[in-house]
Amino acid sequence: MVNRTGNLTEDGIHVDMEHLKKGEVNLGTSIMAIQFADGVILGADSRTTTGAYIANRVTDKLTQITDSIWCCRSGSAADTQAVADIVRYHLNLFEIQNGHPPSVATAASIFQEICYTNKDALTAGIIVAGVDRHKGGQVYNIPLGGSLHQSKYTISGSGSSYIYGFCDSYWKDDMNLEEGMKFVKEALKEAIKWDGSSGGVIRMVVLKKGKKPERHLFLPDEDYVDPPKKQAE
Amino acid sequence: MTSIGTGYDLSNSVFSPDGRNFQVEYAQKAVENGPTTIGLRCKDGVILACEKLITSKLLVPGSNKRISTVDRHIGIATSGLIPDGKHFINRARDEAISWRRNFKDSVPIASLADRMGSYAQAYTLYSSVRPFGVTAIVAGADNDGPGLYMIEPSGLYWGYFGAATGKGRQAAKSEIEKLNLSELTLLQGIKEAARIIYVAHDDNKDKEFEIEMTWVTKDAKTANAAVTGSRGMIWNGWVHEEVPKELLEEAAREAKKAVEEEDEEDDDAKGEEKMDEDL
Amino acid sequence: MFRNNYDNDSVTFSPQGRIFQVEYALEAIKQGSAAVGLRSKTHVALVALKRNAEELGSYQKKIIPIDKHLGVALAGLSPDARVLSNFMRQQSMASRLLYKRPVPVSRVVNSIADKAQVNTQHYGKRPYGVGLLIAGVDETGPHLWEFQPSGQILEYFGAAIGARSQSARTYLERHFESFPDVSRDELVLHGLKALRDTLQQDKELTTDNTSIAIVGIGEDLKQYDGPRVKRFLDLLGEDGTKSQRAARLDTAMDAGGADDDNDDELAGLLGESGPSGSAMDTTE
Repeated sequence: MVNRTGNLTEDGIHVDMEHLKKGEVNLGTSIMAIQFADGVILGADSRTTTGAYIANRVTDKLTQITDSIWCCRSGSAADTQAVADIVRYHLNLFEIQNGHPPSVATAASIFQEICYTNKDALTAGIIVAGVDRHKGGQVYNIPLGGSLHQSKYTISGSGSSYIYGFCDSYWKDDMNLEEGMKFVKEALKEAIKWDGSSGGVIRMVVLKKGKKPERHLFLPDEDYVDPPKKQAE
Repeated sequence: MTSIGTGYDLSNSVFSPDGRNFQVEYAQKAVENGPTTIGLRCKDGVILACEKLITSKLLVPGSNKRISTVDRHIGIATSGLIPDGKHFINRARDEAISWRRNFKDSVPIASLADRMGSYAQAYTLYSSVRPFGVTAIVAGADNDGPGLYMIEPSGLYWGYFGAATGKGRQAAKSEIEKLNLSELTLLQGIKEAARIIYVAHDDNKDKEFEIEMTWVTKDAKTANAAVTGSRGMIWNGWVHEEVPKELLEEAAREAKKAVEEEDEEDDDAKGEEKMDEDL
Repeated sequence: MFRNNYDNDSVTFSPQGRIFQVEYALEAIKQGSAAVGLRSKTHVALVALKRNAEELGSYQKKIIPIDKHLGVALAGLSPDARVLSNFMRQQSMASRLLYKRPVPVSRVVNSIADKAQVNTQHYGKRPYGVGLLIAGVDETGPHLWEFQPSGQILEYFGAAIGARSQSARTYLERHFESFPDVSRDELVLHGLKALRDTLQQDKELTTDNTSIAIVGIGEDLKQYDGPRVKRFLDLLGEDGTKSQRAARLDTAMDAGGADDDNDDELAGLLGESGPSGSAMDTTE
């Protein structure tokens, strides 16, 4: 079995830490994206592991695809970087050929096409989020098999298992920026607290219609206090 | 046409010394004899209309259409060689479908026109093929609103407020120029379209004809269907369909009357001129 | 060797925007013997005139069955017709396999039209040299289509192709308004009368040279050749076939001599449409 990450046997749940190829880096991860009143917010932890070893504690799992479309990557770092690069190429070409930027749905569709047709070769769980001219902020999730799901918010990665209840309890439609960021941060804090494969800093990207993307960083040694500093990108 | 017979017009993809591709120009000739076909981009949609000469009463009326639906929100009318037009439309349908597959969206009109322009252009590049003997008028609507484009055998295309091709294009064009298309509604537009087809019709030479007319529209019914459509349905709410029969018949009736009245006035005018000459 | 510089292949437009090779292919249809098709509300019929190359040779095929609900009549190069009808058979079987239904007539006609169009746009290909009348029944009722080598297809109430087919068209144009409500037999008879009008003066419809096919709503395509055509020819005979007419003319002559009354009878025997609708009218 290639993609098995865990199975149930008589001696309990056995987590196969060796399911990746030798030396492959895994984003055992907590990622999420939400719609809010003015657009979308993407959030992620920053831990990258190779087996039990933390290969990178300040990883950036939020990746820009176009001006106003980003994605959260989980699974194999190599696979998801490669997929993001390919989709970025296609969407840049789209914009040049058609004279207008692609919609978020289009971006998600290309991600899905690649993830689905190569599902046997890839370990990639990707969240696509962005804003476009006509439909505003949108969030799409593409889990391991290559299916595509649109929702108001989505959570993914190993750490997400621990925060379904949290998110369900605290979710509100059309939150303002402050509420939205608080929702994402508190959710990720919980995920990091309980999930061994998640940790490090919390990164966020806020996308608003017609505005530049805004990056936010929250550090664990400051108890993820709001906000240590802001970075413009 | 002075270079006819010098040999530069015998093969596609060959330039004459003065830089012309004669085979493309000859393909355009095939269109110039085709039926008058027009497109009007109105405020709230687009209209396609064409003059359909009745060559035999044995033909089944309503069959043998000249305007085709390419995607739910796009229609194309062609003038020129009918089988070439059919091929062109099949290709446009393939493009629209692959766009849906790739991008989970209905194809924007400008993008389809661009792709079809490239397709037509490819048929001017090789001596192993001939250019399309058609001009295609592409009508549709997308997120940017109604769109109208006309693609020529050379692959050249432009966006239009109003477009005309075929035998009566000159008369049709000068009529279209009189319209204020950015203010015109579809309901007003179909009357103008019918009238233009009647004006452009050469009743000395041509036999009886009927008007084929379609529009791209978004009424309350279709807009609602787009919103409530099942998950995964990709549609922007615009629909290309035949103009309802009653509306078309009324428009044709009024057009015929208007043109006949105009003719009578012309005849009167001519009569007066004659008298002057007599004096 | 060539009539002009622009008729060597089908990828060259003439300065007037014509494609001569395609027009010549259209001529090939007129070399073939005539075929007539017509439809009522319930049926479509094909009738065709078969030719034999030599006295002792067999008669060529003029009607090809495609499926239980579909058949074609041809005029022109019959090998080309065979290629196209094989293609239609494939389409038809694919439809039954994939959709569990007989292929709609317009679909199969459009598919051969698209195939034919490609032949008019690429160097090294030639247009098909055959015209077809396609008769079939589908969910939307009976249909009759004409196919041309240019890739042109048109749906008709009644149509005729092949040598001297203008005469048949003239007949059809005169009578087609009554076709929708006629019976199965009457429909075939109208077809035979139209076909008869394409005959040369010394020729007549016989069981050897006449081919008939008919298909209707809820009724599979049935083809009639040889002796089985006789019933229809006999029905036609009662209306006055050429042969019957000739025979009656002969007896009238024998019996009557120079009697005035017989002249009147003779005029009556010439049939309802007179010489204008008969084989005399041979203009193309």
